[in-house]
Amino acid sequence: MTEPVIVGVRHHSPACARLVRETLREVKPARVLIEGPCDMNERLDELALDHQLPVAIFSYYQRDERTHSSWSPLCDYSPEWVALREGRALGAEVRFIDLPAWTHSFRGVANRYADHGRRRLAYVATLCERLGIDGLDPLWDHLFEQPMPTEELRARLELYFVRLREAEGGVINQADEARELHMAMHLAQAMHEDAGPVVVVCGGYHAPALAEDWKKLDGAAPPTPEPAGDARHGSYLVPYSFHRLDAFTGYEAGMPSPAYYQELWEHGPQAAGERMLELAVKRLREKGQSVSAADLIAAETMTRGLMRLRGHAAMARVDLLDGVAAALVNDALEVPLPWTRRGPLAPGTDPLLVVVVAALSGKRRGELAPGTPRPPLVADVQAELSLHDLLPVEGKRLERVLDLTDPEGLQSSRVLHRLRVLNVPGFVRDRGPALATDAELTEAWTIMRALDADSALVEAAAFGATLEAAAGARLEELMRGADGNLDVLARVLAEALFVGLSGLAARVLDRAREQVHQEAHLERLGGALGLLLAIWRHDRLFGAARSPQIGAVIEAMVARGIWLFEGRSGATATTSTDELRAVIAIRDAVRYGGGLDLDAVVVHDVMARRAVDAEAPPAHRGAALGYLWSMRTFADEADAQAHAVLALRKSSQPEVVGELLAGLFALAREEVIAAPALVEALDQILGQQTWHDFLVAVPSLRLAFSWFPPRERDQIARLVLGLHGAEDQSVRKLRRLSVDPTAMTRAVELEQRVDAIERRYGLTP
Amino acid sequence: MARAKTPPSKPDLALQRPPAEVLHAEELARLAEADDGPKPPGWRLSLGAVRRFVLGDESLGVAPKFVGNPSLVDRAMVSLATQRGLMLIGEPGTAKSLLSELLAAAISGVSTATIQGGAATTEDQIKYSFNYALLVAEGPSIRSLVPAPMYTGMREGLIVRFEEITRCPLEVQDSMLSMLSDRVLAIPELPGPDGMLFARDGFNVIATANTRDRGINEMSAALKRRFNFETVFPIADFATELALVRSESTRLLSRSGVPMAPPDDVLDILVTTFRELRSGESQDGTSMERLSTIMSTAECVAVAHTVGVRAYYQRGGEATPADVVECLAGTAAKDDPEDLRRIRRYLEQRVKGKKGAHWKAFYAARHQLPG
Repeated sequence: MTEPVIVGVRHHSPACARLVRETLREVKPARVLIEGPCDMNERLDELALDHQLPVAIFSYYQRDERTHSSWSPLCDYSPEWVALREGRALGAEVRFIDLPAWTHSFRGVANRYADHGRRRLAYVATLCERLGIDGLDPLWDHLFEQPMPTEELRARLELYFVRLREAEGGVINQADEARELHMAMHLAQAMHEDAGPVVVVCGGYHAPALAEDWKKLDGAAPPTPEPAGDARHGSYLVPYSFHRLDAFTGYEAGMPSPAYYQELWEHGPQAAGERMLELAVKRLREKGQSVSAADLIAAETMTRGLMRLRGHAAMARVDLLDGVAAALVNDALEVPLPWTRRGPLAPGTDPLLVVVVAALSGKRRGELAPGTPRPPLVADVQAELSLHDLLPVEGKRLERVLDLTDPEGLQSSRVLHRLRVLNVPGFVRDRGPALATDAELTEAWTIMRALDADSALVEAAAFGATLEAAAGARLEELMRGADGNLDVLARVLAEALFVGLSGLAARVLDRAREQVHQEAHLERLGGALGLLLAIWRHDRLFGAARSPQIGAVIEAMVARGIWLFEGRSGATATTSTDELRAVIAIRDAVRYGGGLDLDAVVVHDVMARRAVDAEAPPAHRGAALGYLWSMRTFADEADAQAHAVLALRKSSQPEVVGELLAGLFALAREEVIAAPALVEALDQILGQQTWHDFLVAVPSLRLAFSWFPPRERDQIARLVLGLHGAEDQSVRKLRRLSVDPTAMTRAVELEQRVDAIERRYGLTP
Repeated sequence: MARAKTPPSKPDLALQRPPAEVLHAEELARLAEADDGPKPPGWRLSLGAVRRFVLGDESLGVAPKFVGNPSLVDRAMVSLATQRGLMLIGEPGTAKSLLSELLAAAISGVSTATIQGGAATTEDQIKYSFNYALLVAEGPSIRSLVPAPMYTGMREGLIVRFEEITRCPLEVQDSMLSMLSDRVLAIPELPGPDGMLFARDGFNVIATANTRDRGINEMSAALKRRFNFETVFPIADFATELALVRSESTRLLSRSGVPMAPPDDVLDILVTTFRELRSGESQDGTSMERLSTIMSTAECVAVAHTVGVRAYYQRGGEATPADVVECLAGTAAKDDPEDLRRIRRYLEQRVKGKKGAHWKAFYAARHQLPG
């Protein structure tokens, strides 16, 4: 028995793909073993169809509450893909030898071929430091993606992976241990079959261990992992895209810039660099950026200079990117260059660089060959629809009214909402509650058979195997794309409640709780906080009331809210209604959030500081005072009124008086109604103002009084009339003016001007 | 990015601050000796050797002097080897000037061909002027010409440093245009071939500009085109910055006759506070407003130094978190009441939640914030 040939690779590396191809052609193996889900082994023929890459093997698992889905993406330059195609072409028996994606080893792993924790390994850090390179991706290109003879590449890779493993000092996590044992058993079995040479293609991190481990085994067939009997699981092919493959945009992705590596695989590194430079400039010009010939020459000169400095025989990805950035960006950057760190583009990335990175990412989308078995989602949707009697009929409009308080109605509603979330055409909701807290409890839907519904389902199958899982994964993607926008997150939460996914709702809430810390606008916080508080207090329909997860987000929002509330300054700054609503939401959270961990003392302290802060916007001062008043923190009512009157007198200038009152009325409406002293003081202040000042104050005063409902406005009017000794019944007349108030103010203004002119020419006595 | 730990200082000159080529003369000599890489025309060292000088090389005993992305240094050097100048731009205190000095010292062996930009900078200080006595006595001649850094740099083939270029009036900045693109300096006063000075190999310009000065004197598009821009960022990593502040402040303290390093908890408070107020983001990812004042690493070192000196000479002891509160107003808020409010809010709401006795002490001392 000879030794097997083990090719340790980095997933999505063109150099490794090249090495695999040449190794296979040279060895002409009888068995090719590939790191891939072994439960696909019986269906490798599906993979051999004529697909347009990238595609992915999608695996799902669902049992009770635990659901898990994962992707194994493949593109033209994936070493695994090359091994599969090349191996079959050479007539070898090809097998996947890794554990299925639903086993414990892949818990929480969404992409089998991502780099996971590998990039943080000690050896990588040491090499980067020693060679003066920023991170794993440039290091990898520097060491391996440059043109070199195959044998040198092989030797380098072997040395690298052996050192990588050694530097970990034999410590390996449980998940990797189980996988390596499984792969070693497959290898031992293949070796014992003794049918001819064996080639193994696996992650380089596992390669050194695998080379030793199989020798200790007896060659028995590895056990076929079987999930628990009642679990739903499976794997099937779905179309994938460069967008999801790219570490700059995708979630848990492998190597960045797939379009670049595709070029590199097809045309070699030098041509790839040149073509990409050309493409990046083209994209920039399409976007209206002026890139002159001189700029282009400078970019190319820079790139070639960097190439030589770094000892590259051909243009590497970062040479190109660095060259373009140095030559074309002519301003200070807000955030560091995207390729010097890992992960999605940071907000504030230079727009020019965004275009360049997108050009290297590419837009290619995979397509499955005709004849690929249809994903189970299509059947699942049919089953769900017929179960609830919702199947669309050719050429007919079905109209359904669902009662959401009835369990069957609620189930049907969820199915339809899930289809809506997946953008499957033909299912339209005509009316229904906008939010979970609405009083409306029925929904009306129109169902039609749409031509492209099937293709939409195949596309949606990339999100999951069942309707429930797919809708969940789709919303999850929306959630990740929300980019810190609390409004979007709140909407996704509402969707999650509609589609009936409590697990997802919990994750949205986690996300919201993280995002709260980033929110920079009090007014945006207000909307989301109000919605959450309403759900937390009242939602019976979907059973979300008093949920501790929602409670936790409310706590975080209140903390953030008071931070932002104390942040604005400007003694004459105006305040939007939404901002005041946010303060109301904070107050309501403190007032009704019994059982929540809210530090009322801290909120109180902030409000107390804010109420007397001369630098605060007047509406903030008013709102803080209103908070203190409505939360009964003054000694008694008389004391509170005295404080309010004092505050009013201090801010009686026409520009600010309305603002102050808006804040006060928003928070302490009921208290103000019961406080004649304040109305008296206001009446006095307004009485002393000149017409001109009054006209300045009127718009904001009107806004302030709009916080009162009509009946309370009547009450105030009655009080004011009483002060001036007028009759009671004139209130109605006063409030229902036959003339538009703005026309009135304009008229007064005009009269003023006429008066002024008359005075000037001595026409008035 | 900021000054990296300087090696045990060698030159016994009684200079307050010797230039890089004097301070690191030995290292430069060692690098030149071991240098076998190709040198761009007019360069004293190869690009690889310059890189080792700036980023350090253990095998040659060359200390790292600049903390930052190696690729930034790569791009900077390649820019200088081409026909475009290098513009280092960034927040104050990110060691832009240090990097420019190191590059000039390594490439040309001289880092003193330097123009300090300012509102009063004139073309004379950039190009050349005349010695009036000689001018009157002999008329314009090479003898009566007083060279300024650009003249010297072009004649000798040196890297010329232009500090704070955006502080100069626009028309003064634009006087650089022909020298940068045509690489020639016209001296119309001089007759004959002396009237044109063509730059020799090795000449290029490193300019530095401050993002906080943006809007004072915007650079013209024409000038921007002649530079490659490199943004220098503050140190990204907490531990690196902490180590740097510790070593630098200890060095400064010992020069001020204080025999002790600042205590660790004070350094932790200082570096954390500076980083959070600078980036507008606390360690747990909560965002807040940035201060309009500069919260650079250099500034942080200065505060650590001040706090240590005060504690030692006033009380004869170590610095405490309360000392930091008092210093924050002076260094961070300067004369900006808006910043003072931000700091107060930071102390009231952010520091309160932090764990650890030193943070509690810091919070308890919040009332000592003046104003």
